[in-house]
Amino acid sequence: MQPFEYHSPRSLPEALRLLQELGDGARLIAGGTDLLLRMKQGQLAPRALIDLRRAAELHGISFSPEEGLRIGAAVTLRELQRSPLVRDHCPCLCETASWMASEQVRSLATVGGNLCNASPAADLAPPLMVLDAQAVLVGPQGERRLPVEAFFLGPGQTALDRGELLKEVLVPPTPGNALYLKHAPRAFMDIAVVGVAVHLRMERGLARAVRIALGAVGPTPLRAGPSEALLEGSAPTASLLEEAADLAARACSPIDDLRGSAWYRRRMVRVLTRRALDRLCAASLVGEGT
Amino acid sequence: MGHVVPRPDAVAKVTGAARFADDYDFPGLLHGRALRAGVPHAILKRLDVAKAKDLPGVVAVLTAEDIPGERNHGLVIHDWPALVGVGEKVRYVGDAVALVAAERREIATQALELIEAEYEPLPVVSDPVQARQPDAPLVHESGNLLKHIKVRKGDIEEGFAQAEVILDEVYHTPTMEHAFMEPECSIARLTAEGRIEVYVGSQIPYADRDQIARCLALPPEKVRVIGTLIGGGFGGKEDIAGQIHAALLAQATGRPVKVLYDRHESLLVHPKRHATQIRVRLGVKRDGTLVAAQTELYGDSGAYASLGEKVMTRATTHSTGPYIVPHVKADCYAMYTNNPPSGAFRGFGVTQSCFAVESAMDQLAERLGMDPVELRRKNALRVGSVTNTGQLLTESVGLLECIDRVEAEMRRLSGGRDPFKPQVVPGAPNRVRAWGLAVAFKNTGLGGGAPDKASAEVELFTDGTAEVRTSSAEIGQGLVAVLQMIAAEELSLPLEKVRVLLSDTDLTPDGGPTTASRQTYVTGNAVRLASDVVRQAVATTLAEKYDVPPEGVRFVEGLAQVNGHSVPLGEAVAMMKAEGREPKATYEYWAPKTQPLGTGGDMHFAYSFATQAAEVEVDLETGEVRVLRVIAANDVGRVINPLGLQGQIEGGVMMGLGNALTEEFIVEEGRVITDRLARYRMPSIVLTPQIIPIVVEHPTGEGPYGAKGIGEISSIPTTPAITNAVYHATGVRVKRLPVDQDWLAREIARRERPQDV
Ligand SMILES: Cc1cc2nc3c(=O)[nH]c(=O)nc-3n(C[C@H](O)[C@H](O)[C@H](O)COP(=O)(O)OP(=O)(O)OC[C@H]3O[C@@H](n4cnc5c(N)ncnc54)[C@H](O)[C@@H]3O)c2cc1C
Repeated sequence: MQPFEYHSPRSLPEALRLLQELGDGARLIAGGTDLLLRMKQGQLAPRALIDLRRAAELHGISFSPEEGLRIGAAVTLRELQRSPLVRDHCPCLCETASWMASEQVRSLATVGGNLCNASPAADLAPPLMVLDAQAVLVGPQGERRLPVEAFFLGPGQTALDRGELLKEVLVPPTPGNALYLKHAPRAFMDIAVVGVAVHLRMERGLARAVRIALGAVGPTPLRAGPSEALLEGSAPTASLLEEAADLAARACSPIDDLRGSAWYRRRMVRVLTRRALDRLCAASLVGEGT
Repeated sequence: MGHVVPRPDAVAKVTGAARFADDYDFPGLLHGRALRAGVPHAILKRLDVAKAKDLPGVVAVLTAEDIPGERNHGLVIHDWPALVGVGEKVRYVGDAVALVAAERREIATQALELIEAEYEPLPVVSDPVQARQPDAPLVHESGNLLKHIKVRKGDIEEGFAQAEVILDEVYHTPTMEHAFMEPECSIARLTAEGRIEVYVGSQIPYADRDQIARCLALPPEKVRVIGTLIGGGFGGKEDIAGQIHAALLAQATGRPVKVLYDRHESLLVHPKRHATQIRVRLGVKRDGTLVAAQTELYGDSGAYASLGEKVMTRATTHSTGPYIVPHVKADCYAMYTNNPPSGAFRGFGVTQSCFAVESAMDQLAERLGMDPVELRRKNALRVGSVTNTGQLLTESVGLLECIDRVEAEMRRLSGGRDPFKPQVVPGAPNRVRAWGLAVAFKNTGLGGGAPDKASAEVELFTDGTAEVRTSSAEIGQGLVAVLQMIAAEELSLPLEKVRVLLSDTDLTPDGGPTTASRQTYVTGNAVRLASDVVRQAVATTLAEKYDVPPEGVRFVEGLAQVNGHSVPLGEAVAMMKAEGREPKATYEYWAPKTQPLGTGGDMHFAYSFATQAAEVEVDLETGEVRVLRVIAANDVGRVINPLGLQGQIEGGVMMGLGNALTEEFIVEEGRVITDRLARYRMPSIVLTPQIIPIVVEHPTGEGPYGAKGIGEISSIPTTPAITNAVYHATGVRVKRLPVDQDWLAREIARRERPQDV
């Protein structure tokens, strides 16, 4: 690893100022669980690192009935997994975090790092997308908001402009249910071969707010638009769910790699989408009755 | 004997107090690193170390010309250069071309980057079958064939002529990594007397000593290897890793030098489990009696010999399974390639051939319409059988009991259903369960005519304690507890009065290599007999003093009882010393003589036997395989420490599970793809099945209290038990390991809807 300067700003404005001053040679670091690996492997050699973890503005999880959940970018996966607020309002995110990495890695790794690293396999991306979450970006010009799905531009590429960083994620209150299913060969401590997140709510037997997002099957996490359109407002039957799952498999563009073949990934998209839909429809139907 | 003893090193290891090589520090310690070639096959054309030498903080940079003694090392054949010189050949990516010692590790790393090395690439030999082609590039000038190993029994043509059904199949197993927790580390330093001391966690301290001495042009007595605790070995710490490099740098700088591998270097450099291609041809009568077995094995020994010849010999002699077969022909080609070397790995080649033959036996049972357990029982080795190498088994063959007991337990757990028929999980139509079964045998000890001996020293002290000394290694298998128990038993001492000192070539006599499941048997016997000599010496002293025959002295719980007197052992020791008698003894134990392959005699002095049954659940849509339960019966002769035995069984089953389902060390054209643990998938704790151990004890006459080895056999049948279960659940036969989910899902889909695949 090449030598680098290390900065540990105590506030968000200080972090932004450093980012501005140090320019292109500088890199933001949070938990470092993605960044340090790439530095050790010589893929990146930043002149300076700006550590975001001491900026209080990037920490904390809160909830308001209007805005929903606010999750700071420097919140660790362990905090996310164990937060009572998240458990109450978005249990799907706690569940997702529990299947990521290991306890040790989760106590370093952050929500912001997972999104900003912009891996197509980042586990938080699909659930946040179906929860209609917004990313709050802050830079010299102030704050702006983007839907999480518009945040990803390609592998390792985000909508962050020069001088900007991710401040927090906002998850609006939802009356629906969400579920994320991850498939990884080792079941644990492993990167997803395919991840599928689904959100919907049942209203008088009809599926509403149907959102489906797929991870690790394209250059960015992506929404399965045609499947959503098919199901929106429909009364889900087994054959309809099967068709929606088929459409999802067709909506993605996976590649062959060491982790799995394109054929397998496509098949897993179909299987996991179908399983997630089955479970949510069953859960929602029960919920409707009460 | 036979009661549970916690291992003496357990608490220190769990609390972090245990000291491994990397935990040692010495004043003025330098950090050494090796520049690895990074190319699989090439001539080193130019090497310029000037810039590295000039880097502040660098104390020495060494190249091949700086080696004072022999360039090469190796456990059997000296074909592995400690450093490749200019004009010489690089044979795999992990070959070292230069060494650096620096004040800090970071500086050493930086210096490596300043070394300029130019290579002229050569065509790469990347698999053993290709290596045997007449036009294949040569890895060594002597040719790519390390060894052609042959087993012959009866008349194979005649055998197949008698056969009514013939099965012919080819199987593949991948290269595998030991992934011991502690990466290799050696620290070397010069002593005031001008000797070299090397601290290292090694499976064969005396072999390290001799190999270091040869390269440094020193007599072996000038080198002392001091074994530190070992964070796992599994066969991967038998060869030289950084020992010679550390010693060369210490010799050159006059300062202590630590050579620590990071995980990347560890993965790249040390010998692996051989990848194999194994063809199995079995001829059988309609009633299931085996009449002929022919196998052809290719083993990828990689760039250097290591223990390749021995490993592939074991693979070959075990390749027709623990069965009575009148006509056998086995041929194995252990081949050099430009892949990382292959060497010892728990199972020593038998893991691979067991997968092949036990898959074939299941296929044969189906072909015959016979129960797979029955087919095995019918042909299983028993007392009075002759093995395929011509050895008459006269005792300690517990295979039938292993089969019977595992079968009974499996049938009990299946609740009367056919365990080999798929069962759909209620409420989950995409998930099916079934059992699979496999048997195995594995030699204890080196065998094949190799002298197999171990020395141990036992000394008594006036405080009533005893110390056992031998160079054998504790690699996690629990040897310390076993030797402690044996000495305590023989000397009638409480356990806590016995200390065990291992692995120091100055202080402990040679216990031989920690390999081949041999330590409990061979070194265990040495300790038993050394203890016996010491006890008799004490008895003689007391007998003289109290004027009774030596047999009149009895030993009970740390006391010697004689003529109505109770003398604490410590006091008896003081009496001995006063008379000028040494209260210690060294015993060099020679295991029963064995015969070389091909001579038809006893190739091994003992075999362990095992049967395992695995229940799997397969997700037919995703191809995921979960192992739910494994029943494991092992004939270990006699249990010494049940807790140690349990550890070996549980660890062995998990290693076999990884072999079956997740692990594959991937090398493409000589380049290592799995050069990080993130890419080399070991099974995690969530994949651990319920493990049901069954102990079978058919004592072997010469073993200590009847014991024979457990270290390897516990892991060998797991893989085919699992893959046979996968077949019973899905109808898909696994012929290539590991069971890739992607592949399995595709095969299952192909059966259901060929048009989709
Ligand atoms: C053993 C292991 C297992 C893993 N398992 C999983 C897994 O199961 N699922 C999964 O999705 N990931 C996994 N990962 C990847 C990684 O842990 C996660 O992506 C993690 O959330 C990254 O967070 P971090 O804080 O460590 O990011 P860092 O490494 O600190 O940063 C990652 C990138 O994001 C940038 N960045 C960080 N914070 C901000 C911010 N606020 N604004 C702008 N840019 C920012 C950094 O500059 C860098 O480019 C694993 C990693 C390891 C080492």
